[in-house]
Amino acid sequence: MTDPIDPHTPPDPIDFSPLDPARDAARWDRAIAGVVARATATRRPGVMRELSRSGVVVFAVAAAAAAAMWFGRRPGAAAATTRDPVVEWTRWASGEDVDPLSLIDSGGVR
Amino acid sequence: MILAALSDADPEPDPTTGDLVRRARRGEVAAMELLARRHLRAAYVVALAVLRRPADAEDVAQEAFVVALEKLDACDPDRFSGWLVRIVRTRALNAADKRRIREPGEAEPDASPAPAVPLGDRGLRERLVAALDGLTRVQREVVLLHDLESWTHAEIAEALGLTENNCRQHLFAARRALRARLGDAP
Repeated sequence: MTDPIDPHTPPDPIDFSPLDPARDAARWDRAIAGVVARATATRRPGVMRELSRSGVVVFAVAAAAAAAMWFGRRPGAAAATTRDPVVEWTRWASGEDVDPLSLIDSGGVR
Repeated sequence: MILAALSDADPEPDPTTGDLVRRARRGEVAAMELLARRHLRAAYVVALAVLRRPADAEDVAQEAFVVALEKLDACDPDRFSGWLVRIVRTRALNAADKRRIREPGEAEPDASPAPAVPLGDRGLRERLVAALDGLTRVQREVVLLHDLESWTHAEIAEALGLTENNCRQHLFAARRALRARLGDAP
């Protein structure tokens, strides 16, 4: 009596086609479409993340600009940058070193 | 002459999986679909090797593939298959753990009919699932990837982290065991 299975000869391939989900082509196509649709839907928030990440930069720049404008307009800053012609001419008259251009700019107008 | 030249001209070659991964990373939907067409069944096979229930394996394979497409940036495009196999296997093992908790004592493979399979195949399908149950997980992965998915030994070895020789041995042992269990069919 011989062994029905030869230990040296590779057995034939197994036909697994009854387990193949792609046998029902229409159903398999729907499964693939579903996977791709879900993946693209969830990849979109990734795009949104990128946008929001660049949005953070835009916000930071805007905040810095707003802060600079606010500090530039506060009363002290205005006083520091607006030249009083009387003060300027008085300083010039008393022999202080005054920028002639600032004298011209002030123009004696109050 | 011109016609001969035209007929000899090579058609546009199929993109490699690596190319598809790179295109899919840029959000190209057609590339994602081609990737799914090429690799979703392999994902199912790996999930089936772990879960031994076709319906559960389909669910896990699809979920794992969605995750893989979401995380494509983390993948070496030229090693997509092995990377996908690891994702599927991890998720399938997690699903198996949950199933053990949900259904204590439940170890039998699913024998319920799947709507995708014609009714005449039901008996054969049940026998195949029962026969697979007698193999180790790696044997199931190897024999299913080779005989259902038509992967080469080199591809299987790379994806599963085996040597090619090891892969051949697993295939040999798996087929022998399955033949012994199935008799003359399929």
